[in-house]
Amino acid sequence: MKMTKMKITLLTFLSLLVFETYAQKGYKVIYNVKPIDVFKDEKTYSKRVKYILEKTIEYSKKERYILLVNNNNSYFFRKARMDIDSDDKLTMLYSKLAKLQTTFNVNVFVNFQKNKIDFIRNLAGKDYYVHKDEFYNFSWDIKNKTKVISGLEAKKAVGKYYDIIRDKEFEIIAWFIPSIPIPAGPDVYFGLPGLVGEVHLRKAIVKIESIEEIDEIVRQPNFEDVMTYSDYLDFVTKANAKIKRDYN
Amino acid sequence: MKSFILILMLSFFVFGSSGFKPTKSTPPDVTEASCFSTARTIVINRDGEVNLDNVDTVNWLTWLCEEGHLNILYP
Repeated sequence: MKMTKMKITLLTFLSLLVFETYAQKGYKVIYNVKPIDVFKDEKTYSKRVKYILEKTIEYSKKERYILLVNNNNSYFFRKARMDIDSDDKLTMLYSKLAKLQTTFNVNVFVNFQKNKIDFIRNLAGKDYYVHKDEFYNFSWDIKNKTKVISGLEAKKAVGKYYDIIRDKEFEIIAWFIPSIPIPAGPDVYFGLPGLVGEVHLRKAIVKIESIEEIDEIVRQPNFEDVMTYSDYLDFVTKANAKIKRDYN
Repeated sequence: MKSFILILMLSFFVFGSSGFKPTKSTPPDVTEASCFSTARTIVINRDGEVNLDNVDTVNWLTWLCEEGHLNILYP
């Protein structure tokens, strides 16, 4: 009787250990950026401007983004780089222009259990901390087309994204990996039945460069002075109207 | 002769204290408006409009041009 009790205790302990390990198992995904549609009105550019744009492409190609993800959470951020994060004035210009290729948020933390997003958005040179109580709705339409990304089969999905800063709706093409059934992806582009391996944005294609398994817990970063999403929408609408009036 | 030297010294002093820097490569007709206009055009060509995402880049580009760090006005 005593032996059976011991066996049950041991089995329970082992099960908990296995469950805990499984629960924390996740991935570190690195995405690279391929800029598109850069020289739209090439004839109108001077040599100097063309040089600036060429530098922008060069810098965009160096950009890397990291997604730490497990079944519960994901955390997305830009990988810092010594060569493009210097204080040099021109380097800062090329870096600012390069970031406009993707216009990603600075950081994005997602809680999949509670359907909540916390993100930092840099607007007009200042960081704003925002909390959103629901995921973005892309109305994803999953297609039958497949291709291989980083050795894994990916499926095509087409969605729509309303960009509040440009006040326009854009088509988003994403390729997700059903064999990694976590609804995560770069920035706010997720919500598919698998990890997003590639996403086609207005001016860039963002694609997995490498993926590795990790056992780390994805922790929520410390966000200060967080504004609600409705306050954020209100702020963006008013500030954007002022900029469009003064600059366009 | 003495007054000529005095005027010369005074001119040098006035130009020197007003920030006249002959080593800068900024063309003489670079104005605030032309730098801003060109910076704005570059960003609009790239992004379609100036908005909250790119206004910082327009301002940075304008400043670089005005300060003579980057000549975007001429080929």
